[in-house]
Amino acid sequence: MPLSGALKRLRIPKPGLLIAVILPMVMDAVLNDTGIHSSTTMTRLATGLVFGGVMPWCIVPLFIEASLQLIQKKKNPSPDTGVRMHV
Amino acid sequence: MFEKPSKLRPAVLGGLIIGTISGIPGLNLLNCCCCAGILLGGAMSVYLYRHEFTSEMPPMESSDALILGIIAGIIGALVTTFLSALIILILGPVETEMMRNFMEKLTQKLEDRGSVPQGTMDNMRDQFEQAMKDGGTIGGILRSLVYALILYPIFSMLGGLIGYGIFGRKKPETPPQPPMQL
Repeated sequence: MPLSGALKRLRIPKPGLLIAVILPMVMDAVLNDTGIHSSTTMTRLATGLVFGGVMPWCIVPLFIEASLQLIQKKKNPSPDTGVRMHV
Repeated sequence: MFEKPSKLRPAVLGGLIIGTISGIPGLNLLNCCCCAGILLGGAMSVYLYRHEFTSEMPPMESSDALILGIIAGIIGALVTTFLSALIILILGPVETEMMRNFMEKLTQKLEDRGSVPQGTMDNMRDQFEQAMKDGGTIGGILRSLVYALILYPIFSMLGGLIGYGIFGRKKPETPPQPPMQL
């Protein structure tokens, strides 16, 4: 789980988990706009907390990985740098 | 081994998505949700780029998603500014007018409840009138272009990285490198 590890371990959450944390927030907004369900402060807080709690563990490692790849490409221009984090 | 595909086409398409969402009045309210339209454009450019890869090509990397997001954001900023300027020229400041009506209703409610001090609505009306005056000028358009050129690439890059996290990653076929420790 993303919340159980330190950021420097650079373990990127699986795509399924990313979709699972984005979906509740999107559903809350879409269902509210379509009038099917009314979004409350609590639902917005809960879905936003889940999304915001997981996203840094996706974005920060990927940003570090991408930056390292760009630095490596500058030093050694080849199509594949081989710099990859845990998946 | 083949070269990686060109980033231009998916970046332009992602930029057009950003520009369409952010430039059309009403649709650009989507950006009130943490710049969702811009994030979506960045993620879509990565999704489109991912589909151009074949098995002979080197795998897509996160640096590709980062660069793609930034390019899509820059194109999106240009398209948005062009589209907004065009709409202001043809229809007038409809967007600002729409926002003013919405904000006036909201502020009136808040004033009635006592949540905001009396006179807030008058201040807001003055600010909207100033924005409507500035919006149509060359200076106003250039100012919004500068803001867009700073903000859009940042959010589009984040969208690109989220898109890479969802669509782009594939386990490498060669033995993986040991994990990096910072």
